[in-house]
Amino acid sequence: MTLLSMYKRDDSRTVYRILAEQAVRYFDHPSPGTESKIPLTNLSRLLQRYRYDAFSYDDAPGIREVFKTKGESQGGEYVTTSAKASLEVIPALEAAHARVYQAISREDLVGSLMTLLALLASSTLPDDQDTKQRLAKARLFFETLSEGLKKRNA
Amino acid sequence: MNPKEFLLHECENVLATLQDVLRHDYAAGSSKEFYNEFCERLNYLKSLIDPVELTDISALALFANEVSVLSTLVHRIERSHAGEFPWPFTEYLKSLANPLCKEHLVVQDEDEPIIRVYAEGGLFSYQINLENDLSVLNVGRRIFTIVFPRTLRHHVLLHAIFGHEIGHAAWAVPQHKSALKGQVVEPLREAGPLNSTSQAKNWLKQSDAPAAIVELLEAYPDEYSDISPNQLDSWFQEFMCDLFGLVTFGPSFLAAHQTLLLALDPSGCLWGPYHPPYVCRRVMLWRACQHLGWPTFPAGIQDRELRASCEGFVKKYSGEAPGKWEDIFSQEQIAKAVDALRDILTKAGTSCYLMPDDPTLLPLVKMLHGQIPPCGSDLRGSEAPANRSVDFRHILFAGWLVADELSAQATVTGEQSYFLELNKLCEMGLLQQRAIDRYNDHKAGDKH
Amino acid sequence: MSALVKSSILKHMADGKLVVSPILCARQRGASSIDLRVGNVFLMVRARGLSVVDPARFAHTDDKVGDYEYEQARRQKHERYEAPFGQNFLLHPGMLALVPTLEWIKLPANLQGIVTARSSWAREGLSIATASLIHPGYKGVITLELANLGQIPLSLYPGLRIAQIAFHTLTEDAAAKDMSSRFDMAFEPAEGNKAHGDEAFLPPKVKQP
Repeated sequence: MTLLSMYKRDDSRTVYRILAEQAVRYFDHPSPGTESKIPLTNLSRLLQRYRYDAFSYDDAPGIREVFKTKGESQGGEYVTTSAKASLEVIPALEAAHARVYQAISREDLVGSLMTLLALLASSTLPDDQDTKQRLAKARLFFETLSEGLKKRNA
Repeated sequence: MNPKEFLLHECENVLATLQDVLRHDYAAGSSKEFYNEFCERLNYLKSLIDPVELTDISALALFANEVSVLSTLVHRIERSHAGEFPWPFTEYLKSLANPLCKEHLVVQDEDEPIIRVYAEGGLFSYQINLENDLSVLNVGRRIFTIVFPRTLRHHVLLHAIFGHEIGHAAWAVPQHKSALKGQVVEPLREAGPLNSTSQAKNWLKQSDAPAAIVELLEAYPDEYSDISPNQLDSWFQEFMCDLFGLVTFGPSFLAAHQTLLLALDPSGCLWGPYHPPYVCRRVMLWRACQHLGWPTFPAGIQDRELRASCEGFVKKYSGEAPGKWEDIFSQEQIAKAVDALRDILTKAGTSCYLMPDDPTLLPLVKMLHGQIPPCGSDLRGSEAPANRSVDFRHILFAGWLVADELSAQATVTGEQSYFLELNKLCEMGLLQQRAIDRYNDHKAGDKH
Repeated sequence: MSALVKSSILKHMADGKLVVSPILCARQRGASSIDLRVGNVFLMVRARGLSVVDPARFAHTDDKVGDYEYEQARRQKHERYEAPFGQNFLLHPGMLALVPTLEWIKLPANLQGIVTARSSWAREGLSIATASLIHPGYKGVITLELANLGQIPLSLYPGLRIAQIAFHTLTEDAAAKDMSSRFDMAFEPAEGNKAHGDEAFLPPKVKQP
């Protein structure tokens, strides 16, 4: 193992904590434009994984990895993965789901949040009471999620 | 320089390297979209690093990883030197992988991945590297990197192994993973010796296991006697990917699979944390071929000689061994898994392999016998040439059929150069087929 | 010996003796020729650190194929570039590039091919006339030796028709032993041994710098 490789880490908890915090900021100050593209894209992915229960990232080595000869490295693969680390995110998501959107299914929750995020990303945000309530609820979901991810044993 | 300053400094270094790459002719294909994506990521990352407090250790550590990821990616584009991998094959591969890897995102124009290609040394290089958005914050459009072994650049027949790798790529897309897990892997898991870790351990020790397995267990009891739940999960992902390769690439996948895997483990009995023994995978593929009715279904190959050759081919490259130790899935399990897989692929817009009929396959085989690159080219000297659209996978199948014939002759003569020549003919055929399709599509577009 | 007109070319193709594959459209066939398209590989001839063309390097019996000096002399002067369809390649003034055709050619024993530039490109300064004779019995792609004799860069795309091949009948079939060539079954431009048979006129040994 090289000296620096020991520091490679899979910190899904921090990744999603930062994403959730950004989502909250985004609800407070919507800013359609390119600067929000990457966080929005990753929020979509987070929600899709929750919807399809596809959190554990299973490492996908090359087809013949099993036969790698001595001395061969991983071919420069930079992804460090750990199913465990990403699974830690699920309880926090479930807690936020239960607290803010008790009665609805994962699929409906994700559908609804994706619609609201798309609305925020567009420059035409309706000003009606219903939308405001839905946005406030979604904001609370992400706030609860980020709080949950701050706790060590979430 | 404190950690934050260093990270910002390294962001500038990464940008400088990205710009340096443009100095060269490296970036054929998706250069511009890669550059733009990369600049967006760098800007986003800097906007995250800038306000972070030095006391926020976990965030700083995460950002260091993010910078490192970008550094690796920019190095990859530098490595993707045009000319080290087969363009026409890559284009066809992208056409299979792209619909599968499309994501459902809020930002709609970001849903298709950017696919990069580069060559790596070593026989073990075949790989599709995926960006893992679970541990990396800074992913915009996903960048998939297809890795070819540098030394097998022209061996398009072996590249059929990428059918397996596309399976891994699909596994990384949440909606497919859920379907693949529930509809393809579950039927395989629900019965048989790999149903649980305890059954799997007993199965390894069965008296009818191949001698190589027995020897392995005797020689390395600590390393090989245990099978963990994670290991079983990985094995089933591999089984799924093998079926994926077969269903997407057809019989060529069987041949590439066997040629590459057996070359590296002639016993076919080695296994590891990710991969089950090859012998089991081969029998599973044989059962899948049985279910699909290959090679005679659906259109059927009527030409007697060609039919015999196709039947012999499928038999040779899949492992008919009903009831033996390595036959771990029932025909019903395989049928369920294969049907579900075909359904998932069709819904995603990726075409499953369909056995060709005589008028499609015979001319390709004939062209190869005449040392002409196989494609839908009209060789009849017609006043108005009627070039046909031919699925690139039929070109690979024809190539393998002829390789099989020539291999039998080579055993007698000792002449092995036929395989490279055949691969090059097929590679050229793929290029010409792309030209035919491009021209015909353009003509059809003009008419409309 | 006479040149074939279109109907004769088509007849030779229909008989399976002559192959030009693929021909994408009827327009690709002229009155007495077939247009050839740019393939997707470009070997640019570049002066690099150790580039030199010296037949003496190929002449020595102790510098065999595979030997360092033999191989280095052959590989030090080309830079390879591969372009997908839709991407261009710039041929700069004074530049020489070896470019295989998209078409695969098979000639029978009684035909030889003559390759020339299409006039529309020749008028822009493109020269393809350096090695235009294709011997009977040949099979493979044809290597076009492209040189830009004009003063402005030429943008070339894989698939463009830039050359043409005409066919001449021979007085009789060429003998089988005369038809084989090291360029047969060529998929990419290859370099010929410029010393073969002329060793008597070359110095006995050249030391590498």
